[in-house]
Amino acid sequence: MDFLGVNIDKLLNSNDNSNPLMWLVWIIPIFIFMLYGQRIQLHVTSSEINKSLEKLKIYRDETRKELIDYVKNVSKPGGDPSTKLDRYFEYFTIMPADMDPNGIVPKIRHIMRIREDFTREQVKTLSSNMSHLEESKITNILEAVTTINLLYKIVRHLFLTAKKQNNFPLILPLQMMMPFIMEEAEALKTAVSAFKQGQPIGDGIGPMIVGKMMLDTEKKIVALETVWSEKDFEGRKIYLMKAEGPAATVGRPGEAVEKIIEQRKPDIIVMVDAALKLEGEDTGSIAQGFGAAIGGIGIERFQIEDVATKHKTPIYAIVIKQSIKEAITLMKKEIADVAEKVTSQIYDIIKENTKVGQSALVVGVGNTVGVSQ
Amino acid sequence: MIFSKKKEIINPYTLEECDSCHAISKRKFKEGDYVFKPADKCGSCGNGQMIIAKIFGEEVK
Repeated sequence: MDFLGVNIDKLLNSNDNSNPLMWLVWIIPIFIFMLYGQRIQLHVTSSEINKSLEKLKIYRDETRKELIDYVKNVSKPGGDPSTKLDRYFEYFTIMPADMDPNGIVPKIRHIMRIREDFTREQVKTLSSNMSHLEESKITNILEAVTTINLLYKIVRHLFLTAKKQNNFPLILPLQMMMPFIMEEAEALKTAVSAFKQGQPIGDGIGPMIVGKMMLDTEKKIVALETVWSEKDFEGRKIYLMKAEGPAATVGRPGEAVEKIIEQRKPDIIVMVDAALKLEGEDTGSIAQGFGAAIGGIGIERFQIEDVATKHKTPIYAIVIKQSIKEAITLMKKEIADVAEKVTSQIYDIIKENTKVGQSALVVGVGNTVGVSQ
Repeated sequence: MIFSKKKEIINPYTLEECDSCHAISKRKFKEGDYVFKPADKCGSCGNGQMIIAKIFGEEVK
């Protein structure tokens, strides 16, 4: 071909290394990627994070609407709770200064108790004709919506800061964390439905096991939203303790264990709780170990460890493995089905580690929504 | 996509158990159900009390 004296075939002949056009075809992209590579990568990553951010916003708005509709439904013929609830979503907690960590746990406990009590009281003000069960459900849903809102705001902050400053290294950790953040947000969104309907969640397996052991015994209040009872087992005394169901609450296990140990001085403590599984582990697999099996920010665990150490009481733990999503959404069959096996394991621990005439305290740790006793 | 996730649909069920003959019946979850809630009299033995033993979610296959 020969157009206007330029031979196209010759010009694009890739076998000819001296061809200046082919040389440019190779060298220009290299320079572009050298100079603008980071910016291109930032653009691609940004669009991915932006999609997730949009999803987070939808989750936040949907759960907020679900909560408002739910409150309107249970508190009828009350007014519009939106303004009040919107204010709650923005509440924050300032943790105590930790420059000198000595004595920090009572300070954290104090602040957390203020927050819990305040939220509970505020929820009560939404309607005068709301049952305790409804109050507890709303408190839990409120917690879920607040957490999604916080996740959305943090992700948006990091994303916008990185974009504003064209700072690629700043967006990398966010990109790595996004799948975990989205998993948690999706779990929280799904959890709202379980709380609304009062269905047991995966975390409630501990209270479900201990609740069954408590059937046909006299239940007494030992701490806020926490019950305990006594029963005999092969010449031993068993003290059973869990949060008071079927309300959506975890109770105050730290305070309750302290009181029971001070009063009854059990020879061993057995704690049953849900635990996060590692990838590859089966949902509902059981593991046994030592130490206080209890989650949260650590104030309850600290209190239990403290009193157990003071009385030299051994603590045994049984955990039921599950993912974060399974722990806060409707209890899966695989989790519910291990209840009998765990119960027999609890009795085995008691038989192996106490003698006739001795006693054991069994604690069912977790949110007892939809699980009575 | 290699890493695309299947969206799982989970249905809630209630499992009732007779405290006398241990007969089991499974039904769809109704609002107001909670674990260890007493239900109707047992249809199998006639004198036992059905109690909600479990509430769980099963994946729709």
